[in-house]
Amino acid sequence: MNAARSDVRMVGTTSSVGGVLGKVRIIGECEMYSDTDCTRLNCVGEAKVQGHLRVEGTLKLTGECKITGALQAGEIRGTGNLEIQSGIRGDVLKFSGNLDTDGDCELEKADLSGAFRVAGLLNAGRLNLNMYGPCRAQEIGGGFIRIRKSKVATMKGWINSDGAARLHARVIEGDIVELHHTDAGIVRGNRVIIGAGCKIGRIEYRQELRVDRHSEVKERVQL
Amino acid sequence: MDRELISKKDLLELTGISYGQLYRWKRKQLIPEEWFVRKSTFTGQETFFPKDLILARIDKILNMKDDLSLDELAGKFSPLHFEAAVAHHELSERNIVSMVVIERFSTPAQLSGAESYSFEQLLYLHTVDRLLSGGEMSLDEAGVLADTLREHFPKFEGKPCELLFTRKMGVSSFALVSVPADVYYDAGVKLVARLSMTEMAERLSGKLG
Repeated sequence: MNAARSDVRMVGTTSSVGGVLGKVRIIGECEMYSDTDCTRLNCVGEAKVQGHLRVEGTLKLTGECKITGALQAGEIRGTGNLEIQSGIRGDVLKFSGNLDTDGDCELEKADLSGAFRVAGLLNAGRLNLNMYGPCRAQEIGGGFIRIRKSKVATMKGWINSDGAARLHARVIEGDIVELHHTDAGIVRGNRVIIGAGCKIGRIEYRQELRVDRHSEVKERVQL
Repeated sequence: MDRELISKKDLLELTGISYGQLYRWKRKQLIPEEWFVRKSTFTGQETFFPKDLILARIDKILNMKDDLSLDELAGKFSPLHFEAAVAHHELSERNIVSMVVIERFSTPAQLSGAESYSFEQLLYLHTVDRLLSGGEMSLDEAGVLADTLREHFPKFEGKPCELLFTRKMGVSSFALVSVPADVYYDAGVKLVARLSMTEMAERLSGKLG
């Protein structure tokens, strides 16, 4: 199987049919016309995939990546813009920039600085989010969830207030949940820490609840 | 179709597992997506599960996770990729599928014991058997169903699907649809049965294992 995988290096404005590949390196702009399966992908510039993309190892991105199908990768790292239509599945994500998906996002460990929109469920074992812009997810679930706002975004907020760095979610559930600058309908967790600038409809917690006095919580229930 | 549901909150309390574990198992696909039923309640959105299925599954995971890694476990639970070959005499002895169905829908080689049944073949027989024994389907219709499954079920490639069995003015028809799907019929159609194939596979692997 491995013998059939060939390494590809593309420079400039290029296109490829995709398929089963080895190490892929893109500098410039590249469009793949079908499902692509590779061992590693390194992209500086713009990569478009019409179909699903599976990367066995690391997907390293500096620039933009648009996928009309789903993305599956061992590791996703880099900076830029990731637009994936049907969902993301991976082990590790270490990314700064914008992340956008109409599906679910499932990761073991996620470190994200920037903004995102996840239309479905954002499911992560450990989620560490540093917000620079608007973040939106239908549901967030996982073991450890920490949402913070970057200091830069706070300073930017003094100058103009649109595109505020806030998280909006219907439901947030985790073992340990720490939130700042978040609007949420329901937060459920064993230990819930609510920092500054939150508006929460209802909190259901088991062991511990701490709420910053600059935050609004309508209902608190200990289970 | 109505089955007892359990809310996520009650489930965690009952089984003593944490949100983190539940979400991890979901990521590892130990708990299928279709079991997560989202419903609005007066306190907002809540997730529910089919009670009997999820409790059995969690019990299994908790019992086996000491011996196997989560990834190995995942392989055990994807019922549609179940590798099984069962010989003819075992089927009747262990009462997996009724004799009528075995005799009618097996190839001569399988009946003589020269060839065994694959999991998919068993799944077809099991589904046919279920509808027949429920008295919802006639033997002629069973033939049509077996053909339908044989021809179209592999096209789902292991993705979850449902079987719809309808009748209108005495004429019956079968359909396989991917889930989740909303299906609406004209007024003359009677929905005789709606079965989740994933669940059928689950039951079957339960019987086999």
